[in-house]
Formats: sequence, structure tokens, C-alpha cells
Amino acid sequence: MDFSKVTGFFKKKAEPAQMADAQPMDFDNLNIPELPDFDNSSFNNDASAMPDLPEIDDKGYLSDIETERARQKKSMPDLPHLPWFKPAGRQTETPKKMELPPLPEFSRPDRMETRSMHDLPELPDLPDFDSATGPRMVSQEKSSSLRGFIRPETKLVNSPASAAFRMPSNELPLLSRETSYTKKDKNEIFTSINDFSKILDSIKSTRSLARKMDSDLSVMVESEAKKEKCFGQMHRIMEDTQRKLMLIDRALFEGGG
Amino acid sequence: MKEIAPIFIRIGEYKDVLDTVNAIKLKLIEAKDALSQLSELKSEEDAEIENWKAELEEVERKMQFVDSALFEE
Repeated sequence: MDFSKVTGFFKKKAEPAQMADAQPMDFDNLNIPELPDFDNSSFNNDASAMPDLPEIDDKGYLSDIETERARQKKSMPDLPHLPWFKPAGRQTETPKKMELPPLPEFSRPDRMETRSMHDLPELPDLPDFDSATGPRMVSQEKSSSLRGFIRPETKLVNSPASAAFRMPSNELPLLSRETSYTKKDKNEIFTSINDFSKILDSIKSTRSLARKMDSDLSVMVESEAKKEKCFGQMHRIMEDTQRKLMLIDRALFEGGG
Repeated sequence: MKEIAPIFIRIGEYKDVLDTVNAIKLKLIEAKDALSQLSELKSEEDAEIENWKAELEEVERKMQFVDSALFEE
């Protein structure tokens, strides 16, 4: 047999190096054992000799699979018990069951013991009730005694509103005056709502005063302009008067001299 | 009488408010100084006006004298 035909069958060309190393085989002298005898009489028999195929119902082959599984399940032998699985990587041991001491015997108390009213001792008689010196309600005493502790009176010693928003006087307060205020936190400063309303009122009145002062200043500026105009007019009058006096002086004394 | 607990209001930016109040106080001091200077100028103007008034009256008297000396003879 030509070896190049075999390689051509696999769509591969034989390389010359392989071809050089390959030894040509002698297929005619191969030592192949003989095949056993083959009885082909069964192929010549009738088709009735073949085993019957299973019938397929409406569910199709799925029912056959289910029945086959059920059959295999019934016919499968029991699995042997596996030894206790212990993973190789984890050397943890199952904790041993702790042996607890036995609990003492619990005896339920007999709470439901009932006694009849006749078995109880008699109570002493109550004293006579006097309405004038009658007993007071305990809640009133408590409320009167705790009244001082419910709302402790807190006062601002010197609120910033009363100090900073005073009516303007001739002497202004010092700028470096220390003001005391309620300081709950380092960044939070609180003032009472009364002082806050006073502060708002003071700011509103100061704003209205500033508007009034602005209008007064405009009036003063206008009066200053009128005054400048009057000064100019007076200056011109004085200059005219001076010129006329010089004219009179020249007419009376220089003409005569 | 029923006691009323004081209610407090948190003031934000208290430092800025305090600085603004101090700046307004400084401006008020400057305005007060300017107003006092205006008052002084106003009093000086009033005095000058009084002087002018007196000088005008003096000029008027002298002009009347010249007029009478020249034209009434």
C-alpha cells in the first residue's frame, strides 16, 4: 500500500522528513489472527423472530420513563451506610455532649389555695370622718411638694437684647463690653423669645429711623444748596455794591481833585 | 398664677451679628462726630450771618448819610 495515499485521505500531505523516516510497510505479510466464524443464519429468519416493541400510550415516552424510574427505584438495593464524613482540611471535632447536672425537683407552689371569707380575721372599725381636719389627698401633697422641682425658674442674668438694643444715649456703651447669654453648646446660642421679639422691634424701629434720617439728610442737602445759592447772590450783591461805591468815590473825590 | 417656662430661640451666626452690631456702633460714633462738626459749622455760619447783617445795616446807615449829605441840601 502506498503511504502517500493514506495521508492524502486526511487532506494532509506527507512531509518529506516524515516520509524519509517512515519505513514502508508490508501489508501483504501482516500477522493478523483469523476472525471467528460468523453464523449469519439469524439474519435469514423471519421478522417475527424479533422481540416486540413496547407500546406507546397517550403520554408518549414520558410515561415509559416514569415507569422505568419507578421500577429501577424499587429494584435498587439499599445503599450501605457511609462512615462519618470528616473533611481533611478542617480538623474540628464535634463537641462532646456536655453532661449537665440533674435539675432539682420543681414543686409548684399552691397559689390557687382558696380561703373562705369566714376564715379571715375581722378588720378594726374605721374612725369617724371629720371634714375640717379630714385627711388630704396624697396626690395633692406630692404635687405641692414637687412643684418646686417641676419647673425651676431660669432667668437670664443680662440678656444681650436688653443690653445691646437699648435706646441710643449720648454715651455709647463700650464695644468690648461682655454680654452674658445662654450658651447651651459651643456653637449654639439661645435667647429668650421675649428678648427676641424686643430685638425684632428694635431692628424695625431702627430701620424706620434710618429711613427718616435719610430723608432728613436729603432735606439738609437741599437747604445747603439753597444756602449756597443765597451766598452766591449775596456775593454778587456785595460786588455790585463795592463797584458802585468805588464809582461814587471816583466821581466825588477824583473828579473834584 | 401659672408659671410660664421661658422659651429660647437659637441664634445662628451670633459672631457675625455681634460684629455687625459693633460696626454699626462705630458708624454711629462717626455720624455723631460729623453731626457735632455740622453743628459747629452751623453756629459759625449763624455768627457770620449776624455779622453780615450788622455790616449791612452799617453800610445802609452810611449810604443814608451820604445820600442826605449830597442831595438834601
